[in-house]
Amino acid sequence: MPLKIIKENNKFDITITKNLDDIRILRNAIGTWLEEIKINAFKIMSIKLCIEEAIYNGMLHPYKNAKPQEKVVHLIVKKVKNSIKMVVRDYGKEEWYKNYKIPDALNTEGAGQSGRGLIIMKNLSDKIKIVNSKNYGTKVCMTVNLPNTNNTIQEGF
Amino acid sequence: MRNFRYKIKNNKFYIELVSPRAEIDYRNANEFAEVIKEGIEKNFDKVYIDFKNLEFIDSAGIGKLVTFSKRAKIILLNVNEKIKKVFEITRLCGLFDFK
Repeated sequence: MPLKIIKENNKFDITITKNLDDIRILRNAIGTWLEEIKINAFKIMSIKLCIEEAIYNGMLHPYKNAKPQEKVVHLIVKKVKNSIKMVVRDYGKEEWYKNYKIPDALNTEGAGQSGRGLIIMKNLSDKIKIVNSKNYGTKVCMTVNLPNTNNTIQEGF
Repeated sequence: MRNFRYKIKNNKFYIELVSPRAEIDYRNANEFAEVIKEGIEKNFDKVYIDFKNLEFIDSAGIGKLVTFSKRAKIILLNVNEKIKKVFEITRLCGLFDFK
């Protein structure tokens, strides 16, 4: 099954396999849920962008020589008090993050086309932690605080 | 179905987003690039892009804009606040004109 979505009250648990087109489906499913729970438009877009960029990285970089069906990314999105927490995990062998260079944002040459995903994630989330391990893949944990809070995160990843 | 279309009006090259709730992402970023390229190949030194209907743009779409900003002046029209913030946080506002 290429896309598996489990939705509970305040939590999405999603597994995406090989098909990048599925990112749009899950992005919009999460967007609809965030609208239902009255999150404002900019925060919704921030969350959707963080998720998309992390999944896109997870599908592309760590699975260099893997077969399509081996490309698996797991996503958990949950509302925890006054924040949205996201964990995006891949199981690839490539330690891409260690060699990752954040590009100059204004670089218009060649590689300037890519690499802004991490800039977006870092700037749109209030907290980001990336854990990379050769044997266990890469885990990207992000928190977006919701408005009208004192920014206190009650629960860790 | 095409996601983008262009028109030439008063000798200016305009790109419009077809969908009323348009998204530019990794799936259609290449198509977006092709339309911009068309304007450049027609020798327009300015490309006007109407983002009135734009609901979402990711790094793939932003990357295309950055790439073509070297070959033509990119003028973004009707950019809503949430999209403009994304350009601000990626420090790209200086590359484009916003009208």
